[in-house]
Amino acid sequence: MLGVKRKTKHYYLETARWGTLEINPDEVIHFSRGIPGFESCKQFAIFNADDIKPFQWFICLDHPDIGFVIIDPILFCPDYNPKLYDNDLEEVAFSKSDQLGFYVIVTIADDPQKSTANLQGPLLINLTKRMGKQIVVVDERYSVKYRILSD
Amino acid sequence: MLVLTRKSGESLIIGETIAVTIIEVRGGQVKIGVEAPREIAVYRKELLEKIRSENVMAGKLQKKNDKVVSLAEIILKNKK
Repeated sequence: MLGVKRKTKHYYLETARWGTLEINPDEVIHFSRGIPGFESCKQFAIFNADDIKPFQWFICLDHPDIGFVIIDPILFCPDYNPKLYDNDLEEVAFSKSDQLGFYVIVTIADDPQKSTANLQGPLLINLTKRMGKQIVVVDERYSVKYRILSD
Repeated sequence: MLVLTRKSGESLIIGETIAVTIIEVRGGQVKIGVEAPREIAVYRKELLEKIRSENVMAGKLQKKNDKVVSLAEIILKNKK
């Protein structure tokens, strides 16, 4: 039957921390240099969980005990548009027709309301080529510890 | 690491497009000027370290899933 989606490409990863993860190889994101502090984490995938929406899990497939909470920065910073440098675009193999997106890593505080997002080191994702890099935003307007619930 | 000694007013060329000039040396501080194409990022090294240590902190999430859930609830409530 045409048009039936078969999940033959998906595979499962058993993890201590997250249980069984179902992974679509087409959705894995490759970070050729890892991210600062986690340079050996080169393959990541984004997982949704209803209970933490609008946040998502950003899990390292090489070391599945490593995972981060991420969020789309547009949700609380609608004009978030940091400058991209040549090195950034090269590292995610950007070419003109590719679609780019940002996620930011969230640091959950002991008091959850004081949690912060790293707007100065966003994850730049080439959604088309499935490649990513955590970039340094030189613009000092953006903080490493942006209070998500600031008013 | 390439180590050179420069005096105030002297410069280094990196690649062919970047020039680093020592503008002033005073007390324990050096004022440095950098000329580079707009497409090349220039920033203090501490910035990279800030990002690294924030990543490490963020990665220590271990058993805080309930905190993420409660933060998510607050955000959704605020939206209504």
